Amino acid sequence: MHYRELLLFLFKKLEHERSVNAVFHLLKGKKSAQTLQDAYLFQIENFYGIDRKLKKPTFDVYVRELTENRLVRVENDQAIVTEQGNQILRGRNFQSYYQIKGHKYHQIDREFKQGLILLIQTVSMLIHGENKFIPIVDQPYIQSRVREVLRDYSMQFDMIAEQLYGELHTALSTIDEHLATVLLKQCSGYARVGMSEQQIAVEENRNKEDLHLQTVAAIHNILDTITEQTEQYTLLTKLILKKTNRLTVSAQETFDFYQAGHTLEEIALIRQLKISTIQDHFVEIATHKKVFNIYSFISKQHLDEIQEAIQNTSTRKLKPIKEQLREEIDYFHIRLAIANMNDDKE
Amino acid sequence: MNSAISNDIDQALISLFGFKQFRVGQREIIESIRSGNHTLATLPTGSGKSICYQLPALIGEGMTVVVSPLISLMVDQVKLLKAQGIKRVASLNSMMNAKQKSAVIHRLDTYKLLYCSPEMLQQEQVQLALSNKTIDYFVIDEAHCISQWGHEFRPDFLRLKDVIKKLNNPTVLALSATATPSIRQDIIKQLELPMKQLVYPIDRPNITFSVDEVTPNNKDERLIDLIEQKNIPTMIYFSSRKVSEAIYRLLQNKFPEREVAYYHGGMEQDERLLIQQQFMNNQLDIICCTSAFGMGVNKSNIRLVIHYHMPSTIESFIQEVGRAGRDGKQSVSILLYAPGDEYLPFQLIQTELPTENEVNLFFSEDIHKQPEDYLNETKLRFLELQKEQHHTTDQNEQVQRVIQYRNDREQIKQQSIFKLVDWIKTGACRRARLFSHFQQDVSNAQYECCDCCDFRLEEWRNKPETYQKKNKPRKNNWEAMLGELLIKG
Ligand SMILES: Nc1ncnc2c1ncn2[C@@H]1O[C@H](COP(=O)(O)OP(=O)(O)OP(=O)(O)O)[C@@H](O)[C@H]1O
Ligand SMILES: [Mg+2]
Ligand SMILES: [Zn+2]
Repeated sequence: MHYRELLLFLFKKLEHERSVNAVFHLLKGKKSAQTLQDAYLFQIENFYGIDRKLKKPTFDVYVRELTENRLVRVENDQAIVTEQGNQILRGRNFQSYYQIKGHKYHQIDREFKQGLILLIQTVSMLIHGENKFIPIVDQPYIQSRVREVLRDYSMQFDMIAEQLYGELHTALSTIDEHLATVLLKQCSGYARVGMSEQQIAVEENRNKEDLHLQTVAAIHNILDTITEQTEQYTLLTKLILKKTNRLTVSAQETFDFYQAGHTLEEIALIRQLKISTIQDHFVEIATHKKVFNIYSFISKQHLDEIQEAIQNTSTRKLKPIKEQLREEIDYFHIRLAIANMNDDKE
Repeated sequence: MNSAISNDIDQALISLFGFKQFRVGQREIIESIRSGNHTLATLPTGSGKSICYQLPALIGEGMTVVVSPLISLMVDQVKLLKAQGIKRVASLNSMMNAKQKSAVIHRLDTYKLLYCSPEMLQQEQVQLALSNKTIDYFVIDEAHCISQWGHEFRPDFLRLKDVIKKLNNPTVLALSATATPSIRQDIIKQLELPMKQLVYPIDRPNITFSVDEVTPNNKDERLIDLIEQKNIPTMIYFSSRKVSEAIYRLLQNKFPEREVAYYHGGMEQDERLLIQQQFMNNQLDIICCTSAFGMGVNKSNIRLVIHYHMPSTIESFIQEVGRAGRDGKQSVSILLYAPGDEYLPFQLIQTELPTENEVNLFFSEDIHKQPEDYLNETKLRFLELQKEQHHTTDQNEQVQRVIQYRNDREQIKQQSIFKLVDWIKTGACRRARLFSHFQQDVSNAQYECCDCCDFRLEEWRNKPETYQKKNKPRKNNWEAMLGELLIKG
């Protein structure tokens, strides 16, 4: 898939609902309650945070291109997909593009990739007798992670090389051949420095952003494979840096108060924040935390009614759902109910 | 100097760096600072200035602080030393987060060499920590930056003298390949120290200089013709990031069998790292870059340095050309000049210095206008510094002085462009002219001299040349690549 098609797909998902920039924030993985909830609300959480280095000017160029090619119209800051645009989307399944899972992996994928690249380089150099080399990854915490892994294997480099080769070979055999090649081209080691995404893009006559998507897909696929059978991938799974907390800092703070026994209104008062802001936090908490008890905010009966309305309208857009429901059920309740439907909580 | 000490350093040269002999000037500079003289030394690009402080630092009792103007340069030096097995080195720079900085500060005792940006040395925490340590040497690498940048937008270069005092007056070594007599004077004045000057000639006898007069319309064509004939390790310098990328694309298209890349300050850190290492590892034939890939970059076999745009100063030109022929073999510098090219550097001045209007506006302190809204960062920093430097109670007077100063700087900058334009248009020996700003005599060219003497650019460029690439072609499927990386043999 091309980046521009992904954008087209995302604009379609947010059509008439959100601004053009919402897509930018989604791809960047903006840590705001709004962006996170939108991701789930519109079922585009797979793409949350998959391009954290995306720059606004680059994004704008893509939007301009889509408009110039009449695939999208921008009206009141919102992107409307044209008939031509719809034709491109028709009959194609973007939802699960290469099984990218941004919502699941956006916090660990880059570190995993860099750890992998550094481990490959280090092991490759060492088995070829090169113990003086410049590490291809700068970040100190990645370097120390890789050092730890080597120490776990008591620096038996030949053994590590064999195991690394074995695990990677099996893992890469399960994923798309082209994706595997794209990833391997970026790896450095003995006698060879890897290519940048930009360089591979030139070679393949694609955009740099397309290549980025493929790289992310490759990494997510590997993560899927190795986390499903951790006992088979003891070396590779060591490279996963655990970062479990998915809440924004502010939502975490609200959650702390809540767990300490404060009500929503009290927290707003203590934190000098608007009620609506705290409500945003609770929607975020409901999205991510298994331990959160939704019934302290909504009755079982109301929850059932909302779920029924969602099924009837077969949408996750708020307005049509609200219209089906009793007056006393407000938007906060609906958002909580939708958040509660996320089955990937921690 | 007694011979025991001399012996020491000969030993260290072999054991630490694996070199049998000092090159010109290295011994003298090392001995000078080891005897406690504050020293200002010039040596050509690629001559081995780094060793002049790295060696004494590593065999000294205490610690050595190295001030370096570019973060990338500093980070590279540290990585390089570590890769050589010299681990007791670190850097402190503004790219690091608070946690990383304080980790370095807490472990100061473990370092022999600490690279620091002038800005970091202004931080109280850093000063305090360093003042409790024995600092043997305080080194200023690329010391011409004190004089070139300090006055305009990096005032912390001018504040180094106070830092030196706070660190209990360690022996100072200032190094440069491009310090004219007046810059040397300015350095000494700014440091307020009596300095011994060890001024070695900085010309590069193995580089042949030439200028190719083109027209704005045929510049690209001439470049392509040249590259076509000369398949040798090449760097091409640009003053614009955008143009460097555009020409990169052009060359990539024209010469699919060559490895071309671009490098400039606007790229992501990861990507820069990859390109730089590909370059060092001989994987690239041609690199299109800006001055961000200049000072200090040390690769031995660059045969050709092309300037697609003229730089703004003779000094930058010498620095950039100085990437060529660091193995001592013949190398060629070609500056492509089209009439009117000087317009670009002149324009650049206007983005660096505030206009008279902007100066007035800045001092008027109109509360409705935030300086950030009408000044770019360079101009803002210039004005903030000048406000401080030209402080008087009479505001009118102050504004006049700043405007005067701004005009002076503009003139200096314009003159340095004119100097380079003169050099481009000269009919006399380019080597003699270029280095005449720095020294009286120039040594004879080792190969051909310049296009005004014995070098025939047309003849040379029409003679095809290729070089032996060290790298095997890349495998094209993942299995083969994986095997190549992780299976021995
Ligand atoms: N005595 C020596 N014998 C052999 N090689 C040396 C010696 N001293 C330095 N070198 C080598 O010369 C090269 C250039 O050294 P260095 O980078 O210090 O140059 P420099 O003077 O700092 O240049 P620039 O002004 O471009 O920064 C390095 O590869 C270094 O290892
Ligand atoms: Mg140097
Ligand atoms: Zn000459």
